[in-house]
Amino acid sequence: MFKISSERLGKIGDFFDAAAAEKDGVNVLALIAGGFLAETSTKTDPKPAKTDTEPSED
Amino acid sequence: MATSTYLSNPVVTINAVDLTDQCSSAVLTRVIEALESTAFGSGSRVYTSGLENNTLTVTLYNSYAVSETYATLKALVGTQITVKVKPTSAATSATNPEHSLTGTYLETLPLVNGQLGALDTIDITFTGGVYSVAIA
Repeated sequence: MFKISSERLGKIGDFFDAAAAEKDGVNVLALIAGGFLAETSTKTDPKPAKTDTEPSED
Repeated sequence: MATSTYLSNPVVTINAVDLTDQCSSAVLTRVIEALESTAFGSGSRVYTSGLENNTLTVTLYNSYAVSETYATLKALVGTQITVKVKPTSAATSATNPEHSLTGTYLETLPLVNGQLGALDTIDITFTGGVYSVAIA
């Protein structure tokens, strides 16, 4: 997943379809090297492990 | 009556990057090599079409700033890319066709062309590739 990071390529923040661009003969690696694209992470932070705690009897 | 067109507000795109505002000249030439097929009995030379060998030569102001000329071109030397040229920034149409070379090759990239009292400009040539034209 890539987002546009330069107005020379399109609207900043828009999704960039790298697969379609490569089909059109675009060198996507060169765009990344030149700072025109930013890779966006699809990972989400893992949920914290559930911990059962015994109710205290104070 | 003769009419002439000059590129007053063209669009030059190199590897999908719009470098129009760094470009002062663009010459796209479509070449289909001539193969001689003259045979005995011919009174004049005769040719037939061979391989297509198009070129695009552009003059660019060299800039090392972020998202400018150098950033666009530095990783393209020795690779095949797509370049596009359109006479004006208006919508693509029959009177404003968008010319493309797909799979065109950049062999040489001048890195510095400095002269005292002059802007750093570079001429680069893209060679080969498949020519197409869009009118819509």
